[in-house]
Amino acid sequence: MRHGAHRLRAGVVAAVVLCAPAAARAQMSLQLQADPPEPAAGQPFRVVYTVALRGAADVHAQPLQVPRGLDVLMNPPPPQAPQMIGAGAFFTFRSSVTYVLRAARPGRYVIPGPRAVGNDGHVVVQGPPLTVNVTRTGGTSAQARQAPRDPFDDPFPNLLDPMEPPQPAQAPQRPTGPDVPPEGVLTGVTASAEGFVRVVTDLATPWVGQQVEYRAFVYVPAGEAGCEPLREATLDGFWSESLVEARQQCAARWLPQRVGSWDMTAGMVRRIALFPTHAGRLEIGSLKMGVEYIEGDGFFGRRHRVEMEAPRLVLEAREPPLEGRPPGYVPGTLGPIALRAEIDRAELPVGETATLRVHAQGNGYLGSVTLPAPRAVDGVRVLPGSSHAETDRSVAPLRSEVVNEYRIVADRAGRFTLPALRVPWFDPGTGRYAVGEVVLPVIVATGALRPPEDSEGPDLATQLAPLVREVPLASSPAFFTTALRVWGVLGAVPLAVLGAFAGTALRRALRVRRAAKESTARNDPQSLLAQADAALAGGDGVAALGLAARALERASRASGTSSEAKVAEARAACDGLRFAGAAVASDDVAAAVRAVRAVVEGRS
Amino acid sequence: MSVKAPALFFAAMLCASPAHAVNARELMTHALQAEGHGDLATAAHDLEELAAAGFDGDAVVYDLGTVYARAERYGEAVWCFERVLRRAPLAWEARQNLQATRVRLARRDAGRSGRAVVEQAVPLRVQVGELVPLGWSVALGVLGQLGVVLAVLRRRRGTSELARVGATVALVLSLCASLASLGLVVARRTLPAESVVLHGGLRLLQSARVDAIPDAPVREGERVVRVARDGMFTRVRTLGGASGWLDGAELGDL
Repeated sequence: MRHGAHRLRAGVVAAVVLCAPAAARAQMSLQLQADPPEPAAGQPFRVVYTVALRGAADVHAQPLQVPRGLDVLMNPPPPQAPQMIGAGAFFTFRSSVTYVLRAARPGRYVIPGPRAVGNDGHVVVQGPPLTVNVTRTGGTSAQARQAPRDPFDDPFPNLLDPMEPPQPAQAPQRPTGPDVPPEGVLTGVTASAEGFVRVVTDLATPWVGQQVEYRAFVYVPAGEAGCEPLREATLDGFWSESLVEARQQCAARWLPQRVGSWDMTAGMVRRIALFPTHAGRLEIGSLKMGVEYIEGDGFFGRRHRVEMEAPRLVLEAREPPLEGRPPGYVPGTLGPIALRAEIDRAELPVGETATLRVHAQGNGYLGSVTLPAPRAVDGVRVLPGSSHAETDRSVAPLRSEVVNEYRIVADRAGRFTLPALRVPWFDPGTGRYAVGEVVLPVIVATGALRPPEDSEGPDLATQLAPLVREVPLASSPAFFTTALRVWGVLGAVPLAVLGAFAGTALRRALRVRRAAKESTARNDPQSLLAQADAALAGGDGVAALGLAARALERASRASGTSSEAKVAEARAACDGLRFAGAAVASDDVAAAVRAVRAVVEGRS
Repeated sequence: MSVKAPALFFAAMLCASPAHAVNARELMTHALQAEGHGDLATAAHDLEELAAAGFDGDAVVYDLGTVYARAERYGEAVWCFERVLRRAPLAWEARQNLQATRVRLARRDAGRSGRAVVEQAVPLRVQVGELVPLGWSVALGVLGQLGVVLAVLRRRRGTSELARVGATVALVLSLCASLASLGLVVARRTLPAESVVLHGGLRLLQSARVDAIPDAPVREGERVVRVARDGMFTRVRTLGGASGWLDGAELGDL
């Protein structure tokens, strides 16, 4: 009953939308799917290339690009979207073709994401790449049993019930592969209904140098999402190798997951191989991502952007045990290690150089370990040369090959056997040590050492002068150890010159001042009259009269006065002019001063 | 019991042989004798003791560097000769031995690696700073300043034209000497903190840890600039521009 009402409502909505004018927009997706997901080497497998188009668009899907190492057994033309002008936006058209491929050797193959181009030749849609793990025996995945849906069975899957996708007839089988989140208790996560990031490692207590696989998954309540890394996880104390493409920011595949009561999808965003470089507590920093997804239907849904942060992870790296450790063991050398040695020429003239290459194959950390060098024997010198390492990321766990070069120089003729090269390593599986060994090639040196062409005399360029026999035993004199001493000594002369200038100027100023003071200190009538003359010459008549009055007064105080009348007359003249103020004429002032002088000089 | 203990103590004090202190001259003589017998390790040890005791004059450091060079400890030899030349640029024997040590070191490295060794020249600013010791620069500066003062006085009191011209020339020369000494002092004072890598087979570390990931190699005897210090590790920059951490015990400060 309820199902019937649902259908009725969906039909009404579809009819309304069909009557409405079609919007000029389209949604297209390209998808690749391997069947089975983990095929066996040498066995054919299918890759289904699906194009889904909602709306109308004039685009063309491009042919599949098959990577090297995969044989194409069936190569159909790429699927094409139907050209339907005015098609409704709710119709989804799907078209798919099936390629049949075969891998000769096991490994990890990445088929680039399919692309569709528009009329102008530009890429308008690009799907995610497909990673196929080809094993030796083939995986027993559930998806292998789930045949890809034939598009001709239901060419219009959303026509009758566009609002609600049809439920699968049977429960989906659990997928497998490295990008599938582990089952069980949800660890390494702060769960949220809006989405979260989950980080997991496959080992909690690895040995130093042992590979730990770090994976980060984004869980969202939508079919897929876009990611933007905000902060990558810090990996202090680890040697790291990324196992996904460097340009991949988000998940290549989204898988349905049920977290409690939430229906979500999860996609792997990071996969890194980590190798602890030392023992102890090692921390993997938190990963922060901005994730954007559409909640609900892809057409009517609402766009959400959530910032997710994964918690930090702590690993406890262990040092291989001291018990039973062979001499010369370098921490981090984990086995098994395969050794091989080759020399470019086993027979060489004395004094010339042959190159010995030692190849070591081991785990992914081997490139960071210093391997022991071959030991020299009497008559043969072994000089270290270059070294390089390559890591093979197509296998799990990673494998590295280190090639160390050594220069072999024979100092005399003869047949020399270098001691076998022994490399101790630790097996994490058994917890025991073992020693890898490689027999080095025999070297035959012929001829005699050729003397240098220019050995006529001693090499002057390398001649050392003899020791000093008469050594004065004293410490190194170092006075100028501070900036104050340096600049103090350098500034002494300028400061002295400045001081001399300042002293001279000061002395001169004091002398002038003293002379002026002495000249004005005298207060006898003659001096006062002289000052009055000076004031009169300067045009200051009032001051001249004042000084003349003071001279007259001092003269009158003196004993032996003869003419009181003359004194009174001169005083009256001076006072009269002084009371007249500034308006007095200079000639009158001069006359008054002359009268005073006559009185003063007449008495003296 | 209380009487026995002090008695035993005094008896022990009387019986104990006095410590034999070797004076500096004896140590020097011993080092020279050891060098004469070819015992370079003993000679180097004695000279190191002398230098550690404070007798680190130019001659002692020069002898130590020469012994190091003969013992094929080239990095330490380069360090000693560089120190001597910083103090005494006119020590031609030290300059000759530094050159010979560098040639020997380059030949040894070339023989080991099979590649020619290219040495980086130090920057011009550093070369100017190392031209003369600081004391010489200061003395030149003081003399130049005195010359300026005397030339000015002479010029003012000069009666003849010849005396005035002579005083002017002396003034110009004194001013040049003063400015040159000022430049030398500034160059010397602003020299970067440099060290010499003492041992071979080292690589710069990416972080200041014992188990850090090794990076670019550094040559024995190479001059590096100290940038920072973190515990026992020193962050250095080579003349080629590579940076990284090294154990401080592997560096000899100049």
